Amino acid sequence: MNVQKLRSPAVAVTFLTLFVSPVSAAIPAEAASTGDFRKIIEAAKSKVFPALIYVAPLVEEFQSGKRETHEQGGSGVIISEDGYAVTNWHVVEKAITIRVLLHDGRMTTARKIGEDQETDIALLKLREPKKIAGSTAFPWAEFGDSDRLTEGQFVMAMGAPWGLSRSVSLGILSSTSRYLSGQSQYSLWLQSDASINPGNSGGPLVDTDGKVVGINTLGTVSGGDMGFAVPSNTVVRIINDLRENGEVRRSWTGLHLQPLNDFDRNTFFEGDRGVLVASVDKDSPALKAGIRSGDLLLLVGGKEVNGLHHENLPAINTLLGDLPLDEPVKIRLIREGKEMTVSLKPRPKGKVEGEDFECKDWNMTVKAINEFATPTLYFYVKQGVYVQGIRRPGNASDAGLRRFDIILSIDGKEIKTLKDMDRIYQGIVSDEKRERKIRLEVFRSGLRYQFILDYSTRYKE
Amino acid sequence: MEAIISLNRLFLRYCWILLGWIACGGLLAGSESAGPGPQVARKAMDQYGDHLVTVQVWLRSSEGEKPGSGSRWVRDEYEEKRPVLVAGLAVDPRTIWIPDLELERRFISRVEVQASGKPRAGQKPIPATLLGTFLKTPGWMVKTGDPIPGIQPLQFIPWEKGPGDLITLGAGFGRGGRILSTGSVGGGYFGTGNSFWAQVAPGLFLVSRKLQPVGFTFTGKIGLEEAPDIWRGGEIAAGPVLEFSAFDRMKEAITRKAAPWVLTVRGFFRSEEDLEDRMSRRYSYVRRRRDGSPNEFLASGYLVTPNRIIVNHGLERENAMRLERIEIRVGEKRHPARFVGAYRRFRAFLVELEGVTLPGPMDLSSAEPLRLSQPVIDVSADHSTGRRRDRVGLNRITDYVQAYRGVVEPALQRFPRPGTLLLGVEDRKLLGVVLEVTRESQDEYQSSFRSSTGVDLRVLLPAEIQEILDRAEYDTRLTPCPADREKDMVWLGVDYQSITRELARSQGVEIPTRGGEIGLMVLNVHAGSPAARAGLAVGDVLLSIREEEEPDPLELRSRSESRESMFLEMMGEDVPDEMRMEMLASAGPPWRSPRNFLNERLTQIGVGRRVELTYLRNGKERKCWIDLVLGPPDFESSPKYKSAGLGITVKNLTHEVRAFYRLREDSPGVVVAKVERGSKAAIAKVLPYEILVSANGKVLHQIDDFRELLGEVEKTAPGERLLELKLERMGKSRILRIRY
Repeated sequence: MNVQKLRSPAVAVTFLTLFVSPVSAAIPAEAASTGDFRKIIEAAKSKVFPALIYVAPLVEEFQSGKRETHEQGGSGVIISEDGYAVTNWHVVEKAITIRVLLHDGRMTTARKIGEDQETDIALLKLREPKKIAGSTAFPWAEFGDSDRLTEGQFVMAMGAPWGLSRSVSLGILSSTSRYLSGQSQYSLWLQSDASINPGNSGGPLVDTDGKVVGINTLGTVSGGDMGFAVPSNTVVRIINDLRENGEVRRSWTGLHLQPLNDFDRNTFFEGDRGVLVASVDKDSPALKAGIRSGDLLLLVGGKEVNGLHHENLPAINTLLGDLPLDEPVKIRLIREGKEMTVSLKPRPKGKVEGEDFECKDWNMTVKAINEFATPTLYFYVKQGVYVQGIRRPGNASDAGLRRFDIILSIDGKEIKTLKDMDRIYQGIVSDEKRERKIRLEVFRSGLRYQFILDYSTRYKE
Repeated sequence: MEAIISLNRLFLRYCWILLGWIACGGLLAGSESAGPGPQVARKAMDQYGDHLVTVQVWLRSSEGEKPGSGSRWVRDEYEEKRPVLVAGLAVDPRTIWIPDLELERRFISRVEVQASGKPRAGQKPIPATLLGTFLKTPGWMVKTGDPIPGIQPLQFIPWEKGPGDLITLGAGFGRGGRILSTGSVGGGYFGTGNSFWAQVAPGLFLVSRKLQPVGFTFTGKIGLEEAPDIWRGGEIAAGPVLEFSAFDRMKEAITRKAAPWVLTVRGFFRSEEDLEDRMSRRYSYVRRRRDGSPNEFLASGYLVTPNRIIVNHGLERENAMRLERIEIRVGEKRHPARFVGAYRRFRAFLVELEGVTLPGPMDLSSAEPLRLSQPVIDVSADHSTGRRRDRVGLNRITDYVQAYRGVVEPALQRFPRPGTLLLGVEDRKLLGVVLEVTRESQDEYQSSFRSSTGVDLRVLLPAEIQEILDRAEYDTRLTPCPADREKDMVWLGVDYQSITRELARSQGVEIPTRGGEIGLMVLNVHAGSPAARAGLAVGDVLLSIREEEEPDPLELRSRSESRESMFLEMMGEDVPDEMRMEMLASAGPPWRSPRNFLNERLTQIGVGRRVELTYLRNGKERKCWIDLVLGPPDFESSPKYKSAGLGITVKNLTHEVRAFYRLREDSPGVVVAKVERGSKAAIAKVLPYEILVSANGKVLHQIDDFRELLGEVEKTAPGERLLELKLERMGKSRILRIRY
């Protein structure tokens, strides 16, 4: 299955002002008659709807070989009286400014307090807009307990699909613990059939009590009624960290786990406890601790780790990610039938994506190699800079450079970091006297290639 | 829908009318120079118009084939169930001359003649028969049962002058029926040094300025100096005619005579499921396996000595290597034969019978040249349908053309198939043999004697075949070899990038690299390789290689390079496993194969040969000799092991795979080469090109380790077998458990 992030490319805003009176909702939805049900929905909606925001950040992008800015659309929800709001990381990723539309049609701006790429959550702080008569603080919504959700219960998705602000759709929870391969290793997903579209990203998934139980994040590429939301309990944990530190600090062990029972790979191990080590990264704390691929982990810091199915892995990864950095943790494991204990001292995980840089005159963008974002490049070159995007037509393209080429040196000067790149690039392009040509040494297919990049041509923007 | 169909019909008819007009067009153009005036034209039409009758030729399919394989027009007429209309000259009330239709007679169902003059209601075409062919002229004679009304016998006058002073009278077919036109011969003249001719339309009645009958054009070309008997009526009328009925009676005898010379050859290829089929199969038959690879062919061969046969079948390198067995069929008997050599200049190869000789080989002593307009009988055994079919036809030498490689050779009126023998009409002596020419590259001079399918043929005299046999010029690249040598590769031992204009400029080597057009820049020299022995170094620019004894060097310019960046995109992004598997399998191996342009070329030259390498070091040209040796095994040549139960094929780790995965010389593992769809391995999501490090705790160093282990595992009953595999890729591993 192919899932996609739900930010909307278009910014087509239609202002809607709805006033709905709050109604208490105590009757369980399942038992309600048609009339009652309408009231329940109405009540739940009216609790969160005023807190719904339309987020329109101006973001920068480097993929095309050029630094480009454009406004995109997403959704969010205000979670406190003083104007904190939650949205997706991918909505406000690389945002320069963030415009926000409130429920009553007022516009304000927001600043980013923090963001977590791993769980795709960002925390915003809204600037107080001009007051209008009667309105005091920000309307805000409450979080519900996502662990108490059950499949089949009614939920509403709110947001700004395709940039149409303040929209609500209704559905049921299709799954409360969906595991999506390759999407977030620290959290499971809520799946619902409430219709969501690009632009719904960052908007709340609301239960019939009018509580935010998730943040809508992913939809399916091919359409169909499948939306995926980050559960509120994950969101609450993340935003607490963000509010405190401006980031989520995770520990890294270098362990890659696999469940004992993997239906997708038709792989089943005996036993009903522990989690299997699939892979141990080179030069990682786990490798130093002596853990090997094939070991069965039983206890981490005294806590049981049971990875029977894929769905159990995010909790274990979270446990590993939360390990204290200052002291070693004891890990109990089984290897070839023998139980043993090892001591592991994790290191900070650090950034999960490299930074970008535009080499404007050369018509390309570069990015720092990152262990987690570009593991294949990291496999070859641990510290370096690679070609992220190439403009066509353009000078880098004319020279024969390609995406994923690792730049080893320019005019004989070694490039290790994005800072080196910045310094060398500025030095070269500011030198008006020099010949407008550089010699690049590039790593491609395991070989060192030579390229001459002539940047005397100025390509149109 | 109905409207579309009717529109279509209209279009076809319109096209057809247009074609009729085009036929007349040439005449009209010609008449501008020295055509007859309107009075003369009118008189000519009045006097002779009725002699230009319409011959309707109805077509049919024969032996599962449709007529007109070479002509769209004929094919359309057949599909539309209309007759082909031909303008014929009624020389007497029952005899009509028409140009040779270049159509095998088996495709003609019946012939009718439509009398000319003013059409009358109820007028029916007169049934007619194809009587025979003129021997000296490419024309046919049609006889009607009933006389054509209003026709008096034509009295051709003797004509000594050339055709230049003649008036032409022609008939075309348009919407209103038959349209007459007049003109004159010679809107222009053509000459090649060998011959000098005027271009005309075929099927024109030639009359003098005094309106006396002179002749008829059977072809589009009237030679001005030689062979006037092709068009002068008096000579044609007096010349010999071969009746088709007599020819049909001869056919069997001719087939019998040629039977010992033209044999059926069957060859068998070793099958390799991974190989793509690149075999040419134009006139022979290739049976294919379901995976697309051929495993046998059927072709014709010439018995040139009692035990040697030239097989009319082009071999490509891959197929030649996999040629395993050849048998010669004579009637019900099958004789084994061995491969001797594939000709360098012809798409044919020589085989030798093992332990037997056959009677009556071809007599190759004759070097008698073929004359222009000489009629010949062509005999061939067609195997294109998977069965042998003997074909006998009448053909004619119509031209001498400068063919491929500048050889002047006779051209035939009807394009023969390779493997055709030409026999004399009267004595049935062997006059010539047709072979297909090997073209070295597409840019070379194009022969004019070439079919629309791109086949180049040569008509060789028997003595020339003898010469070919004596000279024995074989292509060493086209030789059968055992299966384990099939993928042998000669290597130089360098990795390279092609030079660009900018790189050439920066090194000051623009002139020798012709502005960066040619040249391969060395990026890496493998230790112990021929390149290392020759002292090549990183940064050298390789310019050309020249085979020993070959005068011309081959310039080195690279083709496209590796697909690694595609692989990186696939591995780097969050692609779901199942999609990744499809992508990986279709994208091919991610590493840089040593089977690059340079090594492929050296492999074609062959192990044991020498090449002179020209290269640049620090801008200065240097030369060195390289003895071609086999490279170390690579992914393609490395032996493989396929487990049918798991649906997985693995290979030993070779140097380029180790380099790609940064594995040391002694790191264990075998590489997954293929995963069968729907197999146990596929369900467990084993991906192609991953490294299988261990199985059931046993570290795998080579495929035999895996083979042995599976042998042990498979002693257990199916369904009870348990296999734990550890797979690795780019420093990440995972563990699979497969029960099967």
